Amino acid sequence: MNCVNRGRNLLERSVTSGGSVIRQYGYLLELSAFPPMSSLLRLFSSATSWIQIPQTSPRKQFSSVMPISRFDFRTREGWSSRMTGERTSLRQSVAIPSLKSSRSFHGSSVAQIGEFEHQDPKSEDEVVNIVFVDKKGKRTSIRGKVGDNVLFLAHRYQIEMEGACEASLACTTCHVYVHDDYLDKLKEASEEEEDLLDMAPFLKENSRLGCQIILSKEFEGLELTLPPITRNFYVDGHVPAPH
Amino acid sequence: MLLRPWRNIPSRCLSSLTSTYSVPPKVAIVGGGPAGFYSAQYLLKNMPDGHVDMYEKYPVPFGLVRFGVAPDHPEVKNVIHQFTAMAKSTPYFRFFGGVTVGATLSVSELLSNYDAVILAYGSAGDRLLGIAGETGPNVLSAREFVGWYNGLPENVALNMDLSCTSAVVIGQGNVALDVARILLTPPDLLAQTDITAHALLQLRESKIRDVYVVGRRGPIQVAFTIKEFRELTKLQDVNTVLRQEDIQQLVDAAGTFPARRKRLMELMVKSGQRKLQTGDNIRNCHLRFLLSPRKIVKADNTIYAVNFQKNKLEIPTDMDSVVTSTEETEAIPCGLVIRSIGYKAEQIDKSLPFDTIKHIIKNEHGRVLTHPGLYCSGWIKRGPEGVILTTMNDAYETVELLLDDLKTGRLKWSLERKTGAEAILPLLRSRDCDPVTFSEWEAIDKEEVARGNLVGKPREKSVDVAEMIGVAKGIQLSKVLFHDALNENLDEVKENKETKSQ
Repeated sequence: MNCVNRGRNLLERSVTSGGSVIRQYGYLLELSAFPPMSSLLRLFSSATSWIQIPQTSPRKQFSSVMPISRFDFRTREGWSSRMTGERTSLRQSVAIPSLKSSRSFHGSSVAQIGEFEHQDPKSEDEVVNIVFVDKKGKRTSIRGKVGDNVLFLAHRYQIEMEGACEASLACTTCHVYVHDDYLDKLKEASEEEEDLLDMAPFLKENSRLGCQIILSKEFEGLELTLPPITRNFYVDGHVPAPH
Repeated sequence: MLLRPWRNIPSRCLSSLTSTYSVPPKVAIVGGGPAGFYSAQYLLKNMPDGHVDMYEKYPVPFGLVRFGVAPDHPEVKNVIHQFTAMAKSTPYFRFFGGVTVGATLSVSELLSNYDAVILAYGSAGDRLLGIAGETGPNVLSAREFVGWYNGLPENVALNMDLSCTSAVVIGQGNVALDVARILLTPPDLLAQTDITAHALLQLRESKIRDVYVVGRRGPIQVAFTIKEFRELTKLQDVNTVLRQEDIQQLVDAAGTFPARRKRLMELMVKSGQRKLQTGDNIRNCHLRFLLSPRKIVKADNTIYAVNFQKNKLEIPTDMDSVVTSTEETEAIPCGLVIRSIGYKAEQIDKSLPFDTIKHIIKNEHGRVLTHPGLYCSGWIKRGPEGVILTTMNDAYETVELLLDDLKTGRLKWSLERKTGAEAILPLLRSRDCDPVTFSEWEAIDKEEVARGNLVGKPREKSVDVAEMIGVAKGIQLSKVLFHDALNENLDEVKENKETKSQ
C-alpha cells in the first residue's frame, strides 16, 4: 500500500480490493496542540478514516470505504440502528417480536421512547393493573394496558426504575423481582437478558429486567418489587426519616 | 419531552427544609462521569431549588461513558440521553468543563464556596505488576489502550506498535476482554462505530493474529462475565482457544456450580470445543490460566515474550482458593503486552484523606468524615469495579446521606450564604481558565457527529483538548474547518485528475 500526501493535509492511498485498485482519501487533522511525535506516526495517528471517491460517480458523491456489510452484533437488532447510534432502543423495541405483535401499528416509524406507555387505555378491556413495591416497601398501584413496556410505564408514574440503556439490553438498571405467581406467565428470558442478569446485584430466582416485560391481560395484578440499593446501606441501623 | 427517563418530580423531600431556610443549598460535584451525573440527577430530583455545579477535567462530559465504554457497545452509551436531558432541563445544573480540580482549583476552595462537595473523579491511574520490563514501548495498561481507542486526549499519541503477530493481555476481567475484542475484531466492523480514526488506522495495519488473555487463577475463577465472553465467542473470524485440560476441568466441575455460574462454564466449554476455523484472516483469542507474569523479555525495546510462573490452586473448584506458585515456568512469545489488572485512583489533592492500600478516599458510605461537607461517590468511593448500576446505586447512597445531613443539621448549612460558582468563576478566569459550559459542549457534540457522518460513523471524536475548546468557543484553530477542507481538497483532486485525463 502506498500513501501520498496530496498537500493541504489530504492523504491519498491506493489499496487493492477484489482485484481492482481503489483510491482512498483521508484528511489529516491539523491540531495546534498535538503532542510531538515522529512525522510518520503523526501522519497516521491523526488522519481521519479513509474515504473513497467512486471513479465513475458524479462530483461530490463519495461513499464509505467499507463495503456496507451487515454488522450483526445483536441478531434481533437491525444494522441501521447500530450505524446511527442514536435512539437505538425504540427501533430495536419495534424489532422485538413480542412488541411487534402488540404494537404493530407503530410500523417502522421511530416514535418517542415511552410514547406508547403515555397513552391511557382506550377501553377497560385493555387495562392491566399492576403493583410496584419500592425498596422501602411502599406499594404503588398502576393502571397499565396491554402492550405496555414495564420500564417505560414505570417512568410514566415516577417509579424509581432507571433504564439507563433505554431498553436496548445493555445494562441492569431496570432489574426487578417478579411475584412468584406470575413468573411462569412471563416469556422465558432471552439469552441476552440472562447474560445481563448475571451482573445484577441482589440477584434472585425471580429476577428479571423490567424492560423485557410487556403487559398482557394475564398479568392482571402483577406485583414487581424493586431490589435494594446497596448491601451496606445504613449498616449502622440508621433509618432515614421518610421524605 | 414526552417521558424522558429523567423525571422532574416535585420534591417532597426538602420542601420543609427550604421553607425553614431561605437560601437553597449549593453543591459542587468534581467529575463529569456517571457517578457525577447520577449524583447530580438524584440531588436535583430531591432538592429542585438547590444548585448543582459540575467541574470536569476535560471539556467534554460523561467520563467513562465516552472514554471507557467500548465503541462497539453503543447501547451502553444511551445513558447519555438521560444525562443530557437532565442537564438541559434545569438552570440549577451547570457544567464546567476543562477545570482540573487539584491543579487549577483546590478542593478547599470548593469547600469554602459550596455547602457540600461531592468528589466523583474516578480512578485515572493504573496498577502495576511490579515485574522487570514493565515500562517502555509496547507495554501498556488497559486503561491507556482503552483511552487510545476511545480518544482520551492524553492517550492519543500512545507509543504502540501493532506490527507484531501476538499480544499478551494480563488479567481476565471484562476490560481484558474489551481489549482483546478490539484487537481481534475485523477493522471493517469497527469502522462503523465511533472508534477514533487514529486507532482505526493503526488497527487496520495491525498484524496481530493471536491474543493471549492470561489469568493468575484457573478457568473456574475467571472474573469476566458471560455477556462479554459470549460476545468474544461470536466475533467474526475469531477462534476462542482453550486448552484441553482446562476444558476438562470445567466439564468436571460445572455440575457442582449454581445455575448462573454453570452457564458461563458451559459456554467456555462449548466455545473451546468448537472446530477451529482456519484461513489467512482468522485470528485467535487464547485463554490461558494459572500463570503469573514474572518478566517481560525484551532487547533494545523490542518485546520478545512474557515469562510466566505456573500456579496451582489449593482447591481448584473453590472460587476463592489460595493460589500458590510452582517451580515451573512458561514463556509466551509476543510483541505487545497489555496489563489489565485494575485501575487505581489518584489523590488529586494532598489535603484529602486517602487510603493508599485500597486507593480510595477514606469514607463512610460516601461521607468524608474528616471534612464536613465533603462526600464521595463512584470509583473514588468504593474502588474501580462494578457496572453502571453499581455506580448509580452508589451515587444515590451518597446523595441520600448528603440530603439527610442537610436536613438533620449535621451539615452546618445555609447559616451563611455560599457564593458557589459566582466566586469560583472569577477565580478560574484569573487563572486563565474559561470553562466549557454544557451548551458549548453541545457545539462540540454537533461537530463530532457531523464529522462522523462524513465517514459513516455515529461520531468522529475530537481527540485534542485545544481543538475541543476551539469548537466550543467558536474559535477556528485550523485555517479551515474540517468538512470544508475535505470537500475543497476532494474537488481539487478531482480537478487534477480530470486535467490529467484530458
